[in-house]
Amino acid sequence: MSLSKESIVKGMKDILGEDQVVTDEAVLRESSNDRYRKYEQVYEVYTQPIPAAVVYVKSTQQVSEVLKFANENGINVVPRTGHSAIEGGLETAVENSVVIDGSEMNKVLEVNEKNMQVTCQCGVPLQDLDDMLQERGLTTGHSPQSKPLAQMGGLVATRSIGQFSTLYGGIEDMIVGCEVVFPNGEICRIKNVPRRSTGPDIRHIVLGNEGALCYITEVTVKIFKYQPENNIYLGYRIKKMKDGFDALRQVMVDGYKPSVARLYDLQDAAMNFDWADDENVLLFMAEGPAAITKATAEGIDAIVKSFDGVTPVDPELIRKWFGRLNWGAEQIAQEKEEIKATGNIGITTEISGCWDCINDIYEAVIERITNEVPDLTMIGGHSSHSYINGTNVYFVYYYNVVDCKPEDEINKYHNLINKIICEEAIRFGGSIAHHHGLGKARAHMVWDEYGSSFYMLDTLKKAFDPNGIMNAGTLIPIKHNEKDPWNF
Amino acid sequence: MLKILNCFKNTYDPDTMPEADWLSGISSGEFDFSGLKSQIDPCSESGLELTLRAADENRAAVSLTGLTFGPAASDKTLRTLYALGFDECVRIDGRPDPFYPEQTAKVIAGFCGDSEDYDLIVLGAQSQDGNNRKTPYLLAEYLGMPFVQNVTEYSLTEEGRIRITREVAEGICEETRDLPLVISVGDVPETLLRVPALLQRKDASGREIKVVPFAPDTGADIPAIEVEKIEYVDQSRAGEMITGEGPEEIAKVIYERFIQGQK
Repeated sequence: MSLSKESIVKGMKDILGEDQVVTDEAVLRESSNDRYRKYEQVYEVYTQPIPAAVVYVKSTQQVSEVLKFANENGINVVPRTGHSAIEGGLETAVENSVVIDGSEMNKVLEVNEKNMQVTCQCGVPLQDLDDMLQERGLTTGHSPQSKPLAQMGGLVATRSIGQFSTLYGGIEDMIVGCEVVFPNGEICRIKNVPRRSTGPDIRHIVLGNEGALCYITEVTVKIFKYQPENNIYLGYRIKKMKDGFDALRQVMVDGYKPSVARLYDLQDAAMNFDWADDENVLLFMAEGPAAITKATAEGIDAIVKSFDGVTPVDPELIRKWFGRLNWGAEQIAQEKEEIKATGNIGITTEISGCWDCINDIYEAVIERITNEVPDLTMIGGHSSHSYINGTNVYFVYYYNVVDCKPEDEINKYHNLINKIICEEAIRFGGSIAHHHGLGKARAHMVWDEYGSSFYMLDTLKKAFDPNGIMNAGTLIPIKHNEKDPWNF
Repeated sequence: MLKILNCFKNTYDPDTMPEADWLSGISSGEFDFSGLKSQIDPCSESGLELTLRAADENRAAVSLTGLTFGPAASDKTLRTLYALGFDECVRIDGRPDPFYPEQTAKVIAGFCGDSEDYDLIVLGAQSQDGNNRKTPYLLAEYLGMPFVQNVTEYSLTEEGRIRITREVAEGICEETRDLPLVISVGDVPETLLRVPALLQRKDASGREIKVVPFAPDTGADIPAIEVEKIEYVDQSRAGEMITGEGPEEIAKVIYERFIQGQK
């Protein structure tokens, strides 16, 4: 039985009170999408179903009551904290959805220096958390580019990763325990222990669920000593991209753990570094105790210099560049003005692959996008998260939007590019999403991505969300055009 | 054919310098801007885009020349201009002192004197580093050409004149002027330089950039400029969270604390 919009709003107000339920039209429109539809956002065109309400929850109990009500009445809900998602995960794909915003659950509950853990509510902004910790000589070690905007619940829900992941790991390595609420209102707490062997690691039901299985209300993550005084920066120009991948691989295989290990191709390097001189760029940062950073830097330097066509650059250039990497509200506002003024828009799509296929994926994508996408002004990419068995590539692309209404841009350009990237990643055995999440943008490739293991994802979804109210369309599409899946 | 010379400057974006480096520079008296990502200075960028818009109306009737100072790294912007349809791109191989606009203006005037006469010369009103607003005036003076400042828009008439919109103290002035003319353009809203497609870049990739030696001969000594004091201009903003038991109470607090006393 589906409720009317008015009944939904009344139900929310009965649970939360008037002040926590927002029905302002402008807020509802802005809450119907995320930065996946960046071009539409710039022109304030809203093509997705408009939600019935945005509700601001202040406690786990409120989350439980809201979810129970939604579950009993078949109301789609979209969990949200920082509103910084970029793959359509926050789109309200069903009419009269309810966006459950946890940003007011913003308390840091405990900093436990003995156990090196911090516990906070889902709405704690990562930047604020890290700033507070750094004043105490500590850090989360987590620094995604969205750090000025992102909040802890969303960071766990999307399996996020940060710029220092080669040392600290992704969020999956940082999380200790959490508290979540399921659609039936069940509140579950996973306790904080360093490791356990008591069955499957159920944290992985929560990590990366993108709001499709549960609502994250509290997280505990590890913290680390903050030792920036020992940071050592390394930068190189390198002639061949494949050699760059091989150098990254050798750094990882030889056992070094720089906090930053990045490889920029010609085009992306030209955009970021005036000194790139039409070559690829490798850069590293070693972080930690002085003895370790010194040994790490020396070891990496020796590895990279063993390759042909390598030119070291002044480490000061790398240090300065690093200071301006993250994006906050100001950069987003400036970007909006630039898009409107020039009609040129830049977007990113990240994939991953093992060492034996990543260069193939990279080359195939670059070639296809260059040849198949109209009005392209830039296509390039960089590797920014490496592992012993592979790495990611973060494709960066810009295009002019020509003779195209805002609502048509997504199919004419963005989805076309995503299609190419995902097809090539699958073709060579990589993954179609490294850390941005499937969202709704890439959800219709979930079967290609999972293969036979889709059964496991599908069963989780049916078990935890039998009524299908949790962020419909994310992870598993609700509408799938078999003939033309990339046209939506 | 109308000949337009568009002079522009590459600077750096000061917002990209880490705060720690600013503070260190203030205490030492010296700033190191090397390594910062360069960009076309905002006023220059407006000038370039306005020129392209004016040329869009009748591209066959105009010849566009782009000119800048700098090392070979500046060629990147010049190649962008070629990709956007400029006919000639010139780099003067050196950097003038940003605090000595006479030098900059004399060198550009020397270049103009060695070339065919330009009908229109467009410059940014000022740059982020020099910030003196003098170069366009001085250039017009040295060339003996009329000068119009604070142009926000321009177009070319069929009769070879120029229609200008400019800011004046009293508001906005629209007028038609004869050529030749020197104009300066400020940081005009919504005039970011258009972006060439990859195909346009490919088509323009073989174009030669004309490199002119930087041999300043101003006939005067460059005045020595000594930094006396560097101050940090605090532009921080503050906010306060007003809480209350509902909108009525919050509104009451805001009124009593911030508005009532203003009347």
